[in-house]
Amino acid sequence: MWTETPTDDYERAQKWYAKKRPNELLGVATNFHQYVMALNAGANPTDLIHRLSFVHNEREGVYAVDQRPLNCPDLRRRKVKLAETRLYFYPEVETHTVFVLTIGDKKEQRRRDVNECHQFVRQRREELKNEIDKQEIQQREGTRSPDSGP
Amino acid sequence: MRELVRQTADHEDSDVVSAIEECISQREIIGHLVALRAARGKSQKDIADAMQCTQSRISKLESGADHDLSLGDLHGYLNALGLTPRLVVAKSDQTIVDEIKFLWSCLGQELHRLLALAHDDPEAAVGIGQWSNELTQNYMLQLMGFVGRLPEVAKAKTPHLRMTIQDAKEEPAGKIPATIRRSRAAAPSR
Repeated sequence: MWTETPTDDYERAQKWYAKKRPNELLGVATNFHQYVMALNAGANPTDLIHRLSFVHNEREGVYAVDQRPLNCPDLRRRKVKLAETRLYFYPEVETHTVFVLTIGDKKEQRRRDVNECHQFVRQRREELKNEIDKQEIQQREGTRSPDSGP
Repeated sequence: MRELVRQTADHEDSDVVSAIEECISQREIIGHLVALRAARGKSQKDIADAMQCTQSRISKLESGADHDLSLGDLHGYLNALGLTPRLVVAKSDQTIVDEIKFLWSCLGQELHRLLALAHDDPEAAVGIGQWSNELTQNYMLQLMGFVGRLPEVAKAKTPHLRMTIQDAKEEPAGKIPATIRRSRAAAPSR
């Protein structure tokens, strides 16, 4: 099972969207739910951009779902016009964790949002690499025989 | 996502949280179908070809609600993925214990089928014997692990629950040996 971990940015964004643009939040949230269901069914995060039309590759490991009401019959029925919106996330295969990064709206803002997401992923990869290195060192030290000396 | 949205939302945002939950619950079955299709690397076009319909019909089906899904479409969609639907009927207020009892009775039925197979086919019987050994060990370990992790208060009130595991790892049930897999495939269905 994949775990969803929100960032502070996401939490702020969700609160803003819940108040100002609830329909857009409804659109991206239901699409993201569908994405995570596919991950839990065993799908490869990279392949999903070809299988689910609402998923977009934002490069450097960052993906986004859009607001189109593909997974929300209620929004479609009401024929609500939705502003272009993206929910950005980073699926970390090594730990089966989806980091939910933020929600962005206008095109100008999107560039800034994506840059911040890339920065998060770079930092996260660095942390993960350090963690793996540390574990390997601990394992090596653990398996070394006590007689073998320093 | 349900949990994430609920935990992050402010109290006054309960309307949008309810709308998201409502929307997700309207699509429990279809959501699973789409997830299975994506996980198997199939496109809507692949499903449409197998069901002998247009891709736009599949698109419409996938974006609908569960109550619009016909049994025929469910069957056709799953068949296109190489799967077969099974209908499980449960009480609306089914508890976890009811669920475990139900699964236990299903397990009993399957073991009966396997037993019949073992009596019919001496070659399969050997494999089934070996596999039963692994299965028994793994299930006992799992059950003991469950009991071992129960809170102290449960163990104190039910002294016979005291079980301990030493140097034992929990492992999933053993793989079925190839001989059984072959025989099972050849066995007549219920």
